[in-house]
Amino acid sequence: MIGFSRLAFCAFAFLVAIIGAAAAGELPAPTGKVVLKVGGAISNTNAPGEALFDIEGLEALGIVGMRTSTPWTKGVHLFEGVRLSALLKAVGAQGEALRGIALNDYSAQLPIADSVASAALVAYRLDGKRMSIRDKGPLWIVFPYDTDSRLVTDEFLNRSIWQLKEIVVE
Amino acid sequence: MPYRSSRMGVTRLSALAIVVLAVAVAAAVLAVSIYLQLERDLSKPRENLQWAVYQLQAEHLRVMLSAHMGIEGEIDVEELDQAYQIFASRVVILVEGGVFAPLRALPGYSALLDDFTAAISEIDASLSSTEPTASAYADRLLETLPSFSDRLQSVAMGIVADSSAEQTARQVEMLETMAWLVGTLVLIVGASLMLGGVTVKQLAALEASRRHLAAALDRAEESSRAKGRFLAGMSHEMRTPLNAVIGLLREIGYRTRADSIRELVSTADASAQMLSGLIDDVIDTTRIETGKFQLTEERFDPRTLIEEVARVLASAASDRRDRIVLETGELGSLGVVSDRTRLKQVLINLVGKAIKFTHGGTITISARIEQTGGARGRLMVAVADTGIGIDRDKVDSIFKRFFQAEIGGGLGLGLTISQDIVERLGGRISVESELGDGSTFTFEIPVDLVEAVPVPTPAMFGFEERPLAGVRVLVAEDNSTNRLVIEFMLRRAGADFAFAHDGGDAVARAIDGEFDIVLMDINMPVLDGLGARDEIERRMGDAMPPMIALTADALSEDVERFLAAGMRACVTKPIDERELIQRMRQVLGETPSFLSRLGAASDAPSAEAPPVDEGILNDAQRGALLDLVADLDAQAPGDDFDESRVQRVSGSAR
Repeated sequence: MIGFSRLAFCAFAFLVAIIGAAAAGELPAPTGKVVLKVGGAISNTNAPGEALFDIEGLEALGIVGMRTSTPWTKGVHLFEGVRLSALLKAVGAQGEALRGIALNDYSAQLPIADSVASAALVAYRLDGKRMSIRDKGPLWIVFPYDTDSRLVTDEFLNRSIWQLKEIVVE
Repeated sequence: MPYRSSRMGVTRLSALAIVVLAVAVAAAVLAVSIYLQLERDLSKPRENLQWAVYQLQAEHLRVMLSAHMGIEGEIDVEELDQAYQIFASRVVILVEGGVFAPLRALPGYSALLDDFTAAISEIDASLSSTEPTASAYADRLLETLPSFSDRLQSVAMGIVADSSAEQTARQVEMLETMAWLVGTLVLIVGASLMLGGVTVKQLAALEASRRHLAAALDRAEESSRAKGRFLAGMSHEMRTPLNAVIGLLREIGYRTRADSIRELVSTADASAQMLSGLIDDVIDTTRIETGKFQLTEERFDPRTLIEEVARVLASAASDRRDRIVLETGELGSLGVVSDRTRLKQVLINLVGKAIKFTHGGTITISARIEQTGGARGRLMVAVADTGIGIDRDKVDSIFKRFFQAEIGGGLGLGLTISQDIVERLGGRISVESELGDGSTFTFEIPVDLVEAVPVPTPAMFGFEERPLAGVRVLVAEDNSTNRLVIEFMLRRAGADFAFAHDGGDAVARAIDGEFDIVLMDINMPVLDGLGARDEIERRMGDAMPPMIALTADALSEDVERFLAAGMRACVTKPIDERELIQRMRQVLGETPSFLSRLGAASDAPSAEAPPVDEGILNDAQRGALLDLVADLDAQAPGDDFDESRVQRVSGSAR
């Protein structure tokens, strides 16, 4: 757990360092298909009150790989995406929690501190390929379930939102 | 009986305690297992199966609704595809997800999922070939999907029923476990209560028996004290008549002309002396027990002390053909400070014992002084005999009270008293012995060392025929036998004397007559000795004659009290004639009024004394007097006293 936290912290620090400039100013507007909309208490936007991301926009925040199994899939898979912490930093999130909303309007609340400390990843690639809706894409909030038994309790499983389309910072 | 029942109680108590412990352990195991079970349940990744089926059902309805909307043109193909893809992903999750394994195990559900998967494959295949319009897409979906509605509903209902049954079963199981737990707890509480009850009862019984024991101990101690008091009282009472017997026996010895009678009297006197010694031992023991045993320090010459002891026991030794050898060469010329009287008692005890258990052998008394620094030193004395010795396994208990009584000689108090005296003087006493090879008693005591003590010259009156000639003595003594004994002593010493029968009488006579000295008994009717002294002093002032206290209480604190009250000296009963006369002469020698009267008379008392009264002392009696002096020296009959038996005493008064 300590190792895990430290890893998360190092990653967090690294990301803060490389995207520091972006965090301070305006976000680039998306050019491709918008896959994620971030709203609520954020300071960096590229649309009225919202930060919109296409896949390239998310990739620009840094690509992180994570190999883990999940309760909903067979075997171990390689997830690639952006750290939730990097994403929140990029949009200048100023809240305590965030609400994740799926394509089918399922929503769940995630406490920011706990989720960031657990190295939550907003994944967009599974085993090197973009995730289709059928593959629980295009975005999926995943945790490193194999590293900590706490992450496979109902609490975290409910936070593992697949087919994610929107995040509201509260 | 209480003891027996309490023993049974202990057994019952232990059994009960073991039961309680076992039940408590069982309860703890049960509680821990429940906790672990709950924790496992909590941490296990599990999706709510009902929720999963509901989601599938919802996505199924949603995709069908979307299809209808697609036919109506309300949504485009992209939105319709999304709804379908979401539904399809739901099916994939249920087919692949580890957490849904229990769901797949349910009858009917597995087949349903298979059919869904097959249907989705068919739809995918038929749609992938073309770019369908929304309505064509919708038609294709509605062709297959609605047929699942009823099955999905029935499976969902089945799962609800199953989960509720499962939940009920779990609750029942938990209830049963809890019932066990509660039962166990009730058992623990009950057993603990019983345990507590039994313990309280036991404590009460214990307390009762403790009180019982304490009371018994009190009674035993009181009984022991009463016996001690009785013994001491009786011994005191015995001393007075014994004193008279000894005095009168000696008088008979003086008066008789028949050697045979004198011999009988000597033996009787020795026996009486022995009896007196035994009584003293009993009184000493009582004093040791009651803590009244006190020590009085004085300066003395240890060599003289040892020679004195040898002389006292010389005749007893000769009776058993024993030789007493003194080795006091290492003593040097130093005097010591200690309790001379008590040390003499110890020496007489040890040498007396040695003589008693030696026949035709040698008793060696050796002594030396070891300087330990400054004016401190150790006086070490060893009394070795060549007698029967002591069994090795009895050596340790030889100083125990009544030990000697066990081996058949005396009361067995002497060594106990000796040990007590030596220890009170800060020293140690020990014995080395082999059966048949004699014994050596050794003691050492710490002493203060002083310059050589001048040896008093016992010759002061030794052979003087009338050491108190011309001295006027008033004797206040209420006991007629004692008066008789003192009368004989004073008459032999050539004193003039008068008697007073009580304290009041003593005051009257002291004032009326002219006396050089008063012998004052302490315990007298009307007015006791100290009261009489005070009264005489009040009436006569400086003209009061010096007084010597006569008392049966030989406790040193009493002696000090008498001296503090103005008595010039104290003589304890039974009265030793030699001691009495020595004390009287000593006191008179320090009395200016007597000395001046003596001076005025122009001659020594003996010279001035009236001629010997033939009726009182004839030649034969004078011979007897000489014998008596020897007897007094030896404290035992000593007709055949042989100078050669006592070594190194040639310088003494004899």
